[in-house]
Formats: sequence, structure tokens, C-alpha cells
Amino acid sequence: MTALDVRPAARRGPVARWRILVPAAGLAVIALVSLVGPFFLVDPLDVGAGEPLSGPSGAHLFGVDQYGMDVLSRVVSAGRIDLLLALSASAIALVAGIPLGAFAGYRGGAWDQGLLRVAESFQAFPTMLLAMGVTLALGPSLPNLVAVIAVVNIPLYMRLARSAVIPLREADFVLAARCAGRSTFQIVRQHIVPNIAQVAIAQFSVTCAWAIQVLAGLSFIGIGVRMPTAEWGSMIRQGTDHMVTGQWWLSVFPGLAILLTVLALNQIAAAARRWGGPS
Amino acid sequence: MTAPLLQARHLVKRYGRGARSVVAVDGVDFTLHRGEILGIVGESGSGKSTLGRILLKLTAPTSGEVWLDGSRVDRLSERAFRPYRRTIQAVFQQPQAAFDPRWTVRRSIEEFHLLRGEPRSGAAATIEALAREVRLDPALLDRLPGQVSGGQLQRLSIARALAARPALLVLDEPTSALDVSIRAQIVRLLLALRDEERLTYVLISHDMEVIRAMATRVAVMRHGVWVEEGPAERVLGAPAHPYTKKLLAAADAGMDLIRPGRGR
Amino acid sequence: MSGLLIEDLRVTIGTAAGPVHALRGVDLAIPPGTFLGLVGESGSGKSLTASAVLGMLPEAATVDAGRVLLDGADILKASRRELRRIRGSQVAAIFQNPVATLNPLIRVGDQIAELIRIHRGAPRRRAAVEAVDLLAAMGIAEPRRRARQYPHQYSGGMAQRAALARALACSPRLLIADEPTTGLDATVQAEVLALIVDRVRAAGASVLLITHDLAAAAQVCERVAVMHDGAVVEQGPTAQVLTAPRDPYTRSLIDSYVLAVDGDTPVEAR
Repeated sequence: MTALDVRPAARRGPVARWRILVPAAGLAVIALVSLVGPFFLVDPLDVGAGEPLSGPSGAHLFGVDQYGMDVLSRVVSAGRIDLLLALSASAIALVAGIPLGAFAGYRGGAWDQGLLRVAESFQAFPTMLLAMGVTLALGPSLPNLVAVIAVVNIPLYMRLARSAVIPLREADFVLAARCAGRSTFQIVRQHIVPNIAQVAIAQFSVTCAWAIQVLAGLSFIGIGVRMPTAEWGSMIRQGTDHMVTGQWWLSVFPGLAILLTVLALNQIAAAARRWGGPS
Repeated sequence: MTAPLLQARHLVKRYGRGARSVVAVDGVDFTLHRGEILGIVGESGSGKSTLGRILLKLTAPTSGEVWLDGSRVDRLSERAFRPYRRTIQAVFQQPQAAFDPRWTVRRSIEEFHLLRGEPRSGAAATIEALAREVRLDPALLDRLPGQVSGGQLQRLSIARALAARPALLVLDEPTSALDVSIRAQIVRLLLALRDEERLTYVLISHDMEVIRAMATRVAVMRHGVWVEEGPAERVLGAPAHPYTKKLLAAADAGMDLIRPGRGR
Repeated sequence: MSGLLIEDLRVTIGTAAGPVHALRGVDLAIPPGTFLGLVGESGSGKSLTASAVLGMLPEAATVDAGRVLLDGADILKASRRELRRIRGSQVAAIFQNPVATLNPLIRVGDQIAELIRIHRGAPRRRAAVEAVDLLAAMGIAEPRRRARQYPHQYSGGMAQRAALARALACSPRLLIADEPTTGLDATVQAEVLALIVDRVRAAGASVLLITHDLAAAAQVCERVAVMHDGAVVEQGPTAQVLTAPRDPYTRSLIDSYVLAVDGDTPVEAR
């Protein structure tokens, strides 16, 4: 005998799908343009691309900056760096944080308490401050930036995984797996982690968005990506001096790029969360 | 005379410490021989499920001993206990919760088939044979748990337990989440399998009808204590403890109207 | 006619997989002051029938035909405002999982008093006193202290007593009890059932007891109706339906219930 599904037919599926597909498509376009765009545009480091500080025109859609470099070309190539750094840092945080948190939550006891304390001590610092401190100490190389962003996010993933795991720990199917003689490691890997993937995806989008902002922020204050490498945050910084004199295109276009990317990522996260936990 | 299949010696399970601790199982002793069905009856909070988990080594007892097939097992590490997992298996109350929602039923059963230590090549045929043994179409094996009805899923969880080829099954409220017609089917299946597979059961239930239909021996638990134990006819027919009488009276209320003339 | 009369109720539910004919012509009658047990397995439509009587059919449901007459007035035709008045003062309900049916953030006594104020216009002070009296009448010890507690401080059996107090606060003519004892311990079940009988009889109301538990229905109901697949397959005096069922489904349901195989042979392990 089948139980009746009394949900109104057109309430859940289509709306949720639309909410995730639109921002995902937007993000895909941004990623594709950053990836392929540079092959079709002028060299972003070419200081002779156009008349310095000339505004948007047919030849230079986003205008030219104070060094004579094409802004469109720089915005596009900066997308490569920003997305790559954000994705790799978030991926490292996820890959390290989720299993650690899942293990802590599943084992409980001293392991749980110990790992939780370590995570808390990281979270006690304001993240931006921590990132600034580490970059200043170790130098502002790209790997260092990735490492910093990853490290400050690991505790987030740990806590997320831990709180998702605790109800799963007592789930009958996990008890059944124990009855099948599976080891703790096997249970966490095969039963627990896949069942918390949904929350992890949501958090991943949030982290990426956050990482892009932090990266831009660090570059903006001059300890992130250095000139002449194109990066959205440093481009905004380069442009601020000229805002007051009316050359708005230097800062506005990279700013828009950050806005759209972060917006898409956050919308993906919101939709993934709305889709709910493990079905 | 062979060793008893399962023995509990003064099992105690205490949660928390000091004055605020709660005793879930309070000094339980019993011996279970092959072929018996020990029915453990009790209300919520009686400690019967905790006892079941201790027997399955899912929870460690605070004190006391568990002997399985002549060896003491309560102190063994998980790794050392692994060979015994073949001997003792479990069926849980909520069939929907007992399967990983992301795995096909077949894959969940394969996980238990590994315990046999047999080559994987024969697993598919064995698992299909198990599905037929619990009177199901093997085609169901390739579905996800959410696509199978509760009654079918409970049969599959019995098949999964049998995949380890156990001697002893701990059945924790195996029919409580099911409709009465499905409950009857599962009871019949469990009784038939006991004969076919020479199984021994520890049957934990609050459902007196299921206990009456299946148990050869009945124990009554209250507040962690084993208040009465004996052959099923004796405990259900002539209960000695006032609590057992009260439980039976509550279960029998209204039943006289439903089965006048039907024998006990 | 007074009491509850359901005539040829047909309800369709729109689901993702298309329309489902959930009720296919339900006929039921509960004369004033009597108990009717509506028994069946999950998915048989018994809870949906209760929702129709409460005027609380799910959004996806459409009534294709039939009438639900409570003391002569058709609930299916009532406006929202009329429904609000009917629920509480003429028909009230208790459900499975009583702790969840009480508002977790409001003291139990206040929840009962609120109903008394709304439906009977009693002043605040008197409503509070009456709420405590009602809890006492439901056999709750220390009612004054208990009235000040929150639902999570109640055990399942006690919460069902409080839910019953709230349901009976405005002297409804009909009480719908949807699996009121499911999930409670057997000894508590017996107490709660006895309380329902006692209090409802004292109030002269009638009861629609929805349950999968034949023994519970047998204990308290004069009449029993058996639902299967959206239709009532058999109804009549309890003893007659349960001991001499005419419908084959009723017979198989009873056989399952007493765990008998092949008609009359009880399942035996030995």
C-alpha cells in the first residue's frame, strides 16, 4: 500500500531547479569567459594597448587604464586568477575540513572535544586579520594566499560536518554498517560523508564567494596579488585614484565582476540549502 | 551439551556519572540456547533496546559480561569482534532508516555479504537467492530504499542480516513500524526462516501479540530490571509478577472482543 | 438530523504522479452521544476523512461529491469564518503525538484558557481557573503547577490528557480522536482511552475514533467502520463487525491483527 504524497504537485521541484540553474548558468558564463576570453583579447599586460585613461569605446569596450592596458582584457584575465584561487582554497578547506569534522562528530568523546577546541581557536581571530597577518609574515605569494584562505575556512567545514554527522551517528543505517563489521573510517567515508554532501556544496559556494572578496580585499590594501598581474581587487585599488577625476571605468568594471560572481555563488548556496538535507 | 549460544552475566549500563546518572540496564542475566526465541517485553524506557545494543556490541556495558558461542566478547576490540559479527546480526524497527538512502538495496546487502569472507564473484547470485528467500522479486534489489515499501524493505533488511549467514538475530521491534497485515507477513516469514536457517532470535518488542505468536521464552523488563522470565506459556498464561499482569491486561483489553473462541 | 452524517464523500488529491482518488464514496453516521471507530491501515483514507470533517482538507485535495453534515449543516460549504467557529465549539480533535500538537512556547494552562476566552468570551481570570479545573478533571495531578508548565515538561500520556482538556474546553458536540493512543505505552494507552470514554460520556458528545488498533476500537466504540482503499467496506455494531465480519477485507484485517494464518489457526512457534 502506498502512502499518499499530498504535496501540491507544482511546489517544490521546478522552483528549486530554476533557482539553482540560473545562478549556475551565470557562474558558468563567467568561468567560460575568464577561461577562453584571453585567447581572443589583447594581452592584459600590454601597456601600449591604447591611449592611457581613454574611456570605453568601440576598440576598448571597458576603456583603458592609466598605464595604457586594456581594462576588458584585464578584467577577464583577472577572473582566471580570482576564480582559480577561490576554488582551490575552498576545495582545500572542504577536502580537509569535511572528513575531519565528520570523524570528530562520529567518534565523539576526546577526539571530538580536541578537534573542536583547535577549530575554535582558529575562529577566535577575525578572519581578515588572520589572513593579513599570515600574508605579511609569509609574503604575499599566490600559494600563501590560497593556504591562508583555506586554513581559515577549515574550521567552518569541520563544524558543519560535525553537526550534520551527529544525528547520522545514531541512524539505523549507520548502526547496521557497524553490524556489518565496517571500520569507523569506512563508515565515515562510505555512509556519512556522501550523506552530508548537500550542506557541503552550499558551504562551498559561500566559501568561494567569501574567498573572492577576501582576495580582493587583501589586494585592495596592497598585500594580495601585486601589479602588474591583473586581479579584481588590485584593479579597483588602481582605479580609485582616478574615480574623483571621472575615470570611473577603471574600478567599476572589476567591481561589477566581483559583484556578479559573488551574487551567483551566494544564490547557488541559497538554492542548495533550500533543496534540503539528505533525502 | 554444547555451550549456550548467548549468555549475559549481570549486565549493567549506566549513562552519566554520580548522582545524576541513569541506569538503563540494571543487572540482567540470561542464557540463550540454540533454537530458542527469547521475547523481551517492556514499555518505553525499560532498557530493552539498550540491552539489544549491548548484545550487538553497538554500546559497551558499564559492567557485566557477554558470552557469544562460548567466548567472552564484551571486552574485545571492534577488530577482534569482527568474526563474531557473522554470528550475531540485527533487524531494526524503522526499515526506511536502516538503509543508506543513497545506496541501492543490493549494495547495502553486499556490505553484509562481505562478512562471509567469500569471493565477491558469487555475491550477486547469493543476494538474489536471499531476496527470493524473503519472498521478494530480486528486481527490487536495484532500487533505492525510498522506492521500496516499508514491508518489502523490512524483508530486505532481514535478507541483509541473513547475508552474513548468522546463527542469532537480534530483532529490535521488527514489526512496530508496519501495518498489521504486513506485521503478520513478517512474523510468518521470521518463523519460517527460523526453521529453514536454524536461527535463534532475541525478539525485543512492546507488542504482546507478536511476542505471543513468536517467543518460546519471555522476559519482562521494567526500569532496566528483568522482573520476570520463563517459558512463554507460563509467563503469558500465568504471570507471577504484578507488572507482567498489568502489561498483559493492558494488551488484552479489547482483544477478547476480537478473538472470542480463538485459543491462546 | 443531528450528529455527524457523511454521505458519499469523494475526494481527489493532485500529486506529482497525477490525481489520486483518495476517498471513493465514504458513508458514515455517528448519532449524538455515540462512539464510532474508523479502522484501517495506513493509506486507507481514514485520516483524510477526519480532515474533511474538520474542514481541513489539504490544499491539493478537491471534493468531487458528497456532504459532511454536522448537526444538519454542511461543513464542506462553510466559509472560513464559519469553520473557525465550528472548530473548537462544535467539533474538536486530538491527534497522535500530543506533545507536538501543543504549542511549545505557551504554557499548557494558557493554551486551554485562550480557547475558553475566544469561544465563550470568558474573562481572563475565570478562563485561567477553568483551565486548571479542566486539567484536574483529566486526572492530572497538581493541576495548578502543571498548568504553568510547558508542553515539553509533559510525558506523552500527560500531554494527551492536556490535549483532551483543550479539545473539550468548549464542550464540542463531536470529538475526533485520530490515533490518540498510538505511540503511548500499553498501560498508558489503556488509561487515556478510559479517560476519553469517561469525559466524553460526561459531556454527552460523540466520538470519531480513528485508529489502526482494532483492540482500542473494540474497547470503546459501539460501532465500527472499516476503511480500505478510500472506501468504507463494512460498518455496524462493534461485536458484529469484529466477530462475524461479512467483508473479506475485514476478515483478513482481523486475522492479521490476532496474528492468525489461514483463517482460524493462530500462528504458533512451537
